[in-house]
Formats: sequence, structure tokens, C-alpha cells
Amino acid sequence: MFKAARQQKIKEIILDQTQIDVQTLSTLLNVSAVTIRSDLEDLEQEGFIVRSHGGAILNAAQNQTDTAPPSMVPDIDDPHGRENEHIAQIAAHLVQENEWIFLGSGAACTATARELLSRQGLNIITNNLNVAAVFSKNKSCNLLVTGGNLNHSGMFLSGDIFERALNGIYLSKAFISVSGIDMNGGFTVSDIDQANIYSKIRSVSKEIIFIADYTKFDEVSFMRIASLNEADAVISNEKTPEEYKEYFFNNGIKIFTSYKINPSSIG
Amino acid sequence: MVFIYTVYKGIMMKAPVLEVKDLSVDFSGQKALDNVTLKIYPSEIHALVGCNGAGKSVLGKVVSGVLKRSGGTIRLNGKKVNFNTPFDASRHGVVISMQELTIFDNLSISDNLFVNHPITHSKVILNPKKMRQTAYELLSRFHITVDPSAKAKNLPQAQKFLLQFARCLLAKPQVLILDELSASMISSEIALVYQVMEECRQNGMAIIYITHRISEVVSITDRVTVLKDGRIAAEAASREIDKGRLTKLMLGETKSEHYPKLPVSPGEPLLELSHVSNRFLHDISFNLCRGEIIGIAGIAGSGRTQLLKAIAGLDEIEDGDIIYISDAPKALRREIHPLIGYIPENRDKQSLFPDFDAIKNITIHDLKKISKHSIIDPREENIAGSLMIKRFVINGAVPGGKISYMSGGNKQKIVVAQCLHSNCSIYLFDEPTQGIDIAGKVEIYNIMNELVRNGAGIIMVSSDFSELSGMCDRILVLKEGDLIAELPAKDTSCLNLLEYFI
Repeated sequence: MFKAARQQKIKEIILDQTQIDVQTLSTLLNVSAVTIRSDLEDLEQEGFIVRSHGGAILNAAQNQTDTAPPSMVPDIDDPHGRENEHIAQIAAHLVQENEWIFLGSGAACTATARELLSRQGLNIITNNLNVAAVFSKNKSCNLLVTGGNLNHSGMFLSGDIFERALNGIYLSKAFISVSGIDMNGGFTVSDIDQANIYSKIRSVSKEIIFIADYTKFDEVSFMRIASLNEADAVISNEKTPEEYKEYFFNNGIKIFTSYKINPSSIG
Repeated sequence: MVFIYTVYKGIMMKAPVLEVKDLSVDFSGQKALDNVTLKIYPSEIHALVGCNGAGKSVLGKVVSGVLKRSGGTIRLNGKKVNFNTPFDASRHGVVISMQELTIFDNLSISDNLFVNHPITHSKVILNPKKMRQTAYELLSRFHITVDPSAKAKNLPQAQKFLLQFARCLLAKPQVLILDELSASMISSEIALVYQVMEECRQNGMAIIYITHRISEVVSITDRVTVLKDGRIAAEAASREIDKGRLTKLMLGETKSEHYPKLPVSPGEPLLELSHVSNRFLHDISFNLCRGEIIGIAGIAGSGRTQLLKAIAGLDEIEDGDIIYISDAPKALRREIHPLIGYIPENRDKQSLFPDFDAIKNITIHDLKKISKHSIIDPREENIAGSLMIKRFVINGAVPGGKISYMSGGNKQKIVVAQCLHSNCSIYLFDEPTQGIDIAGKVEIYNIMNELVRNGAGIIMVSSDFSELSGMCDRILVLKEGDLIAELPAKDTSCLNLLEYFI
């Protein structure tokens, strides 16, 4: 049986059983467990299933056509979708209950919001309209949208009204997407709105966590918002260049890099 | 010869007997010693202190010919020297008693004493009568009352170290290096060591005393040098320095806040140790849950490696229980238990096959997975191995290429991949980042994060206290086989940990 046919068969089995383990699939389809795991990975990418210890579960949320997520703003094609998902998973671990956190603009922050959907008791403030749309499904968290002038290409809010919304608010953590991370250039963003947003956030936030996929290293974008050593933490992917790993560690900055192991690999 | 007298706080000193200048030692890119300059004078007991990994043993070994230096000079009595072997150094009067025991169990006590310097008639024929006499004199000085012709293997550990010390004295050294000699001794034996050291000092010997017992420094030594990360952090007269300041100098400004520890909520229990005891361990009890990283702090001889080996099933336990808990359905629980990955200190010798390539090394512990009808399927082997290489970004993994050319960090990733390929849920790390550069360390820490957030449990043994307080949820302190403390890492700094070992 070829891969496509086999994966279709797996889908049928899971739709029927809702949940199945790797061993059973391997026996049923007469292929090795490694092949099954690879298939399950593909299916998870599609959003069809969620992998678990030793198996897979049907992704109910994705497969219910009657409760489509109310996306008033369609997600811009995310060229780094996969990396951002990994970054988001790490970022989600850094978010604790009962603290106020800021999620900024950019696809990585939106992906973080998706990862936080199943959490409860969170307090989130954001200027990113996509984040707001994602979070509309989570009724047990406090979500504040700042208001401000809409930046059409980035789908985020900025300006006077944004800054005023943050007056008198103190944040434990702020997640900021950047377009460039460079040894000499520092952290850079692509427009002046984002630079102003960062200035305001920095003044009211205890910890600043920069997030960027690995392609942003050694890149310098339009405006510098901070030097490298101003970060408290940086989240990126496993392909982060070595000299940055060394620099951050030696300068007291937590550098998190994602590794995507197959969760069902852990027994 | 011209003596240059310098008055140093009332002590008249001649020229240094040993002088090292800009001494460096490089281990495949890692600087174990970085431009160390030091002077040792005759008739002095000079303490050399520092955390684990600071370079104290390396300095002792380079000066005594055990290790080769990568840069700098060594001068003995003003003349440049280049020792190629410890025997070379010994002939010039520089002798070391190493941290590792070099007593031959199968030889007699007397033979052990004279192995390097036999007493002979006219340099050719052995003089057993003289040797017996010397042995009796020397051994009685050390209160070793056993018959010297008895085999050394039955001597208690502490007495073997005394024997090692005695052997060094037979070489009549000008410079004697004692590396952690008192580590396994009780106070009466230590007092004896001090006594002999004092006698030697009065006879003109220079002694470099490597220790991490700060109390010793102040009481018996003349001067102290603090090493940190291979460099000299401070040098002072012993009576002028206090314990607190010494500890701070040893630790420097290390912060554990820069370790990328990902908060993971602990899940179900994986492992339970209940009053576990054997030759090396006494009554150890603790739990490990999914998502947790537990650290084990202990010096050499504390039983830390033995604890890991007992959990991995490599060493037997004589008392107590180790319970492995899995979330298999109740009926199967007896047969199925969580798999344990052991990542030892010496990964090259104990985990990796140097002549195989990365893919074969990675898949080696579970061949069933990549086989069809008991024959390895090279395609499946390749898929499984390549996936791990891609996931962990293992560099230098050439298909068919020997792994011996890969860096320490990448080899460590291969060992972790081996365990992951076998679906281990408990990972036992012994010195996880030793011999790995900073970027590699960061990678290992992040890999640990990824393992635990997916449900694995990690126990890690480390001599690096900042690593322990930076990456662990809880730290167990082990001393001579006893679990003397269990600390939450949040409230534990390097300083707290160090205090257990002073």
C-alpha cells in the first residue's frame, strides 16, 4: 500500500475508533512502527489528529464543521508556520496562571495564543487582532485588547490609544516578535509602529521575551529596538546559530530553542 | 647561585622552587587551564582550591608530567623543564598523589611502595632487606600496622591513599602535589597526614595541597590560590582569608538565572526508590515524576554514579526497593515498565561505537523496530536514524562516516537519540555537559526541556552546581552514600550547595 492510501486508511480507522495506538496500527496495516509514526506526524500536521503517548487521538476541534472558529481576520499565510508552532509551544510553558502577559504582533504570537487555548485562569493583553480572534474560543481567560490605530499589513494596533491603554498596567512578561537579531544590529523590527509599541511595553513589563524563528538571526531590519543584552529570554528554533547560543548563555539571557521530538517516542 | 631574598609578611623566602607562567591546557577546544601564572616556594604548604572543573587537578597533573601542556612554561629551580612522563617529573623531584587511586590491589603493600623506586644493591639487584626495613618505618609513621607482604587489596580505602602518599615520599620530592588526599579519610587519619606534611615542610619540601575543604585551607596551609574556570581568581596568605570570602571567590559571579529551564508541571510518578542500599548507598528514598528534572549533587566517592547505575539496573541493590511505574493498564503493569536510558560520563567508551556511523549508533538499542522478520531493513534504519539527526540537529553525521570525528556535544546528542529511539521515559545523565562547549550545553539543556515536556523524567548527576540549580526542579545532596538533603532548586544557589561539601 502506498503512503497516501495508507494514510487515508489510518484516517478511516481513527474516525471510527477516535483513538488508537501505534502498535495496533502497525499490525493492522502490516508496516513498521517507524512508518506509522511518520504517518501520524503527517496527519498531525494536517490537523487531523493529536499524537499522544504511544498513539493518536482524533482532533475533535478540527473535525467539527459546525463550530468553525470565528475568524474575522484571516490568518496571513505563515511561511514559518511549523517553526512558529514549535516556538509557541515553548512560549506557552513560560506563561503561568495569575500573571498578566502581553502577546505582541506577528505569527509566532498568534501561534502562542493557539497553544494557550486549553489553559485556564490566564490574563492576556494584546494588540494583535489575530490573537484576539483565536482567544475568543477560550472563555476561562481574561483577554484585553488595547485599541489603537490598525496596521493593516500586520493586523496589530498602535498609536496613542494603544499607549494610553497600557497606562497603570504592569505586566509580568511580554512576548515580542522581531524581524532581525544581529550581534551588532541588536533586535530590529520592520516599522516605526512596532518600535513605539516596544518602547511602551518595555516600560511596563518585568520580563521581555523576544521570539523569532531561526531565519531572523544575522538579519538587520529597519529599526533597532534594543541591544542583544537587553533581553531576559529569547525563544527560537534548534537551528539558531551557535554563536548566539553562546552569547546569550554567557550574558545571563535564557535562550530557548525548540526541538521537535515525537511525543509518542517517550514510553 | 644567587639567592633572591624577599620578605613576605615576616617569612623569609628564597627563589621559587616551581614557577609556571602563562600555563594553558586545551582539551579539544575546551580550555582547562587558561594562562595560569603561579610561584611555589620551598618549605611552604600551598593550597589550591576551586569548584569542580576549575582546573585544580589539571594543574597538578601538568606540573607533574601526567598531562601535556598546550602553552606556557614550567620552571624548576629557575630552569625551564619539559616533563613528558610522570616518571620524568619524579626523577626531577616533582611527584603527585592523584585523586584517582594508583595502588595495585594484586601486589603486596611493600611492592606497591617500591614500584617506582626500588631499593637496590648497586642499581641492579633488589635489596629486599633494606626494603622491608624502610617499609616498616614508613608504614608505622602512617599507622598502617598490616604486614607489608600482605596484598594491598584488603586495605581500607583511606589507608590505600596513605600508602599512595607514602610511596610519593620515597621519591624524596622537592615538590609534592596532593590531590584531594583527605577526601575519604576520617579525622584521625587526616591529623596524621597533616603531621607528616608539616615534617616534610620543615625539611624544605614544597607541597601543593589540592582540596575543596575550605576549613583545611585556613588551618594548615601558608598560602592559597583560587582557581575558577581554568584561571587564577585570587591568591593570598592563608591566615588573611576568611571562609566566606574564599567561597565567594571560588564561585565568582555565576548566576543560575541564565539557564534555559522550561517550567513543566510534574505528571504521574515514574520511579520510586524506597530505602535502597548496597555497598555504596545507604537508605536512599525519593520519587521521580514525569516532567521532572532531579539533580544529584555530590563529590567523588559520594555514590552518585552508583545511584544512577542502581536505578539503571547495572548495579545490584542489597536492600530496599526500586519501583518503576508505568501507565500501562493494570493487568500488564507487571510486565511493562518504563524504559530507562543511561547516558554515562564516559560516553565514548560506554555508549558509542566509534567505528559505526551516526545512524547505526542511534538505532542500535532497538533493532526490532527497524527490522522485518528479524532482518534489519536498511531503509527503515535510515529513516529512523535520519529523523533523529534532523530533529536534534546532529552535525557532522556523515552517512557511513565514523562518529569519532564528531564533537562532544554532537556525540552526546547521539546518545540521547539512542535512548529516545528505544522509547525511554527515564533519562539518567551522568555529567551531561562535561567536555561540551557552551553552544552544545545550551542544546543539551533545551533537549532536556523537550524530553520532560513530553512526559519523560530526568535524573542528572553534575559537579557543576550552577547547572544543577539552573536546570533542576529538585536537588538531592549525596555524601558518602547518604542522602543528606533534598532541596527545591528554586531556593538553592551554588553557595547553598557548596556549604554541604566544605
